[in-house]
Amino acid sequence: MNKLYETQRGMRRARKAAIQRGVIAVLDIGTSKIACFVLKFENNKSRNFEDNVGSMVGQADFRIIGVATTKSRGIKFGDIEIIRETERAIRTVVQAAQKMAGVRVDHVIACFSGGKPRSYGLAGNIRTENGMVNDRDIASVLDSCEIPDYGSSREALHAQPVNFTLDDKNGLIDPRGQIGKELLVDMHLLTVDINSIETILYCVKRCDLELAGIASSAYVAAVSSLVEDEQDIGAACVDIGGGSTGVSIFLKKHMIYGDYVRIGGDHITSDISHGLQIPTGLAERIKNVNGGLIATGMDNREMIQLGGETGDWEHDQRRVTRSELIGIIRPRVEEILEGVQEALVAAGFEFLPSQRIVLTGGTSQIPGLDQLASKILGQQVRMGKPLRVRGLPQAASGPAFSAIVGLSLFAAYPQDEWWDFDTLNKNYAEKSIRRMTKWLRDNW
Amino acid sequence: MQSLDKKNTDPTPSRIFYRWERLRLTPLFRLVIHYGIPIFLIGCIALFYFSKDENIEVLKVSWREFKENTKNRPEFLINFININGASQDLLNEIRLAIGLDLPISSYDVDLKELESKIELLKKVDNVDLHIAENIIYILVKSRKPAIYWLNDFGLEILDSNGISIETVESGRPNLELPLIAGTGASLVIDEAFFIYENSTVFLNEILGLVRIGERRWDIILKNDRKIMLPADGLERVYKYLMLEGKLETLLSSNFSVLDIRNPDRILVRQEIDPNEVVVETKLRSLEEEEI
Repeated sequence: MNKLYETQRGMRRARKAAIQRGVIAVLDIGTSKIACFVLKFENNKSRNFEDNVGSMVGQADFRIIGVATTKSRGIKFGDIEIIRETERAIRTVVQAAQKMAGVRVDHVIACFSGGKPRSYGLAGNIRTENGMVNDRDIASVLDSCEIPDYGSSREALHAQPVNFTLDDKNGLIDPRGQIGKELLVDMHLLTVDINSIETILYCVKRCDLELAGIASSAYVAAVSSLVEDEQDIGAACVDIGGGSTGVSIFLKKHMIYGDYVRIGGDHITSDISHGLQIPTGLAERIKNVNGGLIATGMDNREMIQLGGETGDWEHDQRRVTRSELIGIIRPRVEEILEGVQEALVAAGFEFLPSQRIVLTGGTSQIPGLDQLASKILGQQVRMGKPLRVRGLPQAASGPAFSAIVGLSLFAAYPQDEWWDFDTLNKNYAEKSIRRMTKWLRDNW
Repeated sequence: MQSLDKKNTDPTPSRIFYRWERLRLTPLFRLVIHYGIPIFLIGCIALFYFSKDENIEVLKVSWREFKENTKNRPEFLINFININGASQDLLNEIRLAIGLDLPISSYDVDLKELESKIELLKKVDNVDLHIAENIIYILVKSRKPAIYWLNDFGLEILDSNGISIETVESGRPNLELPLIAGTGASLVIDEAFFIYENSTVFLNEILGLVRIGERRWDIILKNDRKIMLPADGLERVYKYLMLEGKLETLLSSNFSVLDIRNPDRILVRQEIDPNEVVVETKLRSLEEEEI
């Protein structure tokens, strides 16, 4: 725990340094694509309203100056399997983004969907030191949380205080400065496999970059695709990616639950590839061009030329109806949505005040998904796209980029995490001096 | 079917190329590449080139040739000098003074120098020069003769400021002009004019003015008469003389010298009777014989 605590604090320092320098890169390591944005922080606060994006709170003072994506390699289910390959992919994408931005970036914030994220709700309580809640009280209440035994192979990725209770006042976001005796905290802890973090660290290091932060892609996708009200009153964000589907539930602007379904768009592609006996690339193309989820009578007549380069003329000239294609795609999507449904049930989503579900991610672009999803997940389903930030090119404004746009926002305005507060148990010396001064103040 | 020529379609940059690209994007490195190296190279080439004297010589010569060629373009050549406001003699004098061989490039003409050259001529008061369309225009204002001055070197014509215009070789060409004489007379020419102006009553009688001892004037009149004027207070004297026809009275008397050096005590020296002179001469000769 302490090692990661130090790593996370180091990353926070690196992030601060990067923002001081004004340039930072964000990197979305996905199963089907790796995307990289170069962000430029404008320290002068002159807000101009170019590209019709107004000054929304907390997102107006950075600008995307470099964008690059590449097909990702060596990644399965969001985890890096072949380090060399992934490193090459990261190199490609960072190089291209740097070239577009025209500046060199040294710090990178990454997000990934793998590592089998699991979330825990923690609770802690203390008695306040001197009536009024201060930073030290918050640190100590966070410290007092009972850490569940998640195994030595896992590590905390996010540990965010979600809710504070001071005596009988509940639902405090920031209790500092308030008067009370007993302080309680609810904390959300998201753990991932330690190996996935370490491989990412290693890959980034091999690219001569410094990791300035790491996030779960389910979390950051929700940051960018849920609107503020949804984040506040409660909503679930389903990020249907290439290799896996991330689920995150937001309440009171904090993530309170995170889960994943290990099925994604790549599985649909491989189903098509198997079912129609065509190569994966072709299957991907057919999925993107002709894919759908709701078959109509028209689709029985629409023939799709499969093509191929096997050399077998008969084989290459085959045609299928669109209905057949839909018949292959639909069960897989249903499976994904059912997995999401299970995750939501496990999280107790039905007890939340709002049942809004937002679908985002590259695979959410399949036509008809909203209708299918509302049958499985309930009526309050909408398709999400990342909110607009300055400098975001049109090509990168689709749902496939909601994770990286969210990561950009996360880079600019990170939520308080556990490691943003000093832990107490390490500096006894300071504590004793503090006690002494307190004693002096009280008695003189 | 697979394509026979296996092209590497991997877009990944090699590690070295990746590092190089990153280096290229660092600000200092870019500065050095964009400005430092070119400046250094140009400096090196220039240093190498100028280290040989013959190269410098070649450059100098070609620069000189270029300058000559440009100067001698017909647009810059001057083929005519237009002089206005000068008499024929002065015209010739000015032409001589300028001494330009036409045609000449306007870059070789120094108008300031020409101006000073022309202004050195005695007859020229001031001069205005300009060049337009291959012609030098010279507008001359010549000095007007105002007075004659007889001095140790001869007869000079002065203008109204007392500046010498020319020396007269023989005779007095213009009888209209007044005459003054004596050392230092040209310095106080204003007084001379004052005297002439205020002596209208007997102007016909005046032969000229003589400066005595660089201090005061004598008016020389016809028939061996003269008026001695004081060194200062001329105006006062004239005012006094003009009063109630005093001057006429004085002039009408038979005098040889009218001494007004002290206006309070005007002396009139009578003309001597020629007979008395004869008597006096005889008497003196007798006395000398006795001795």
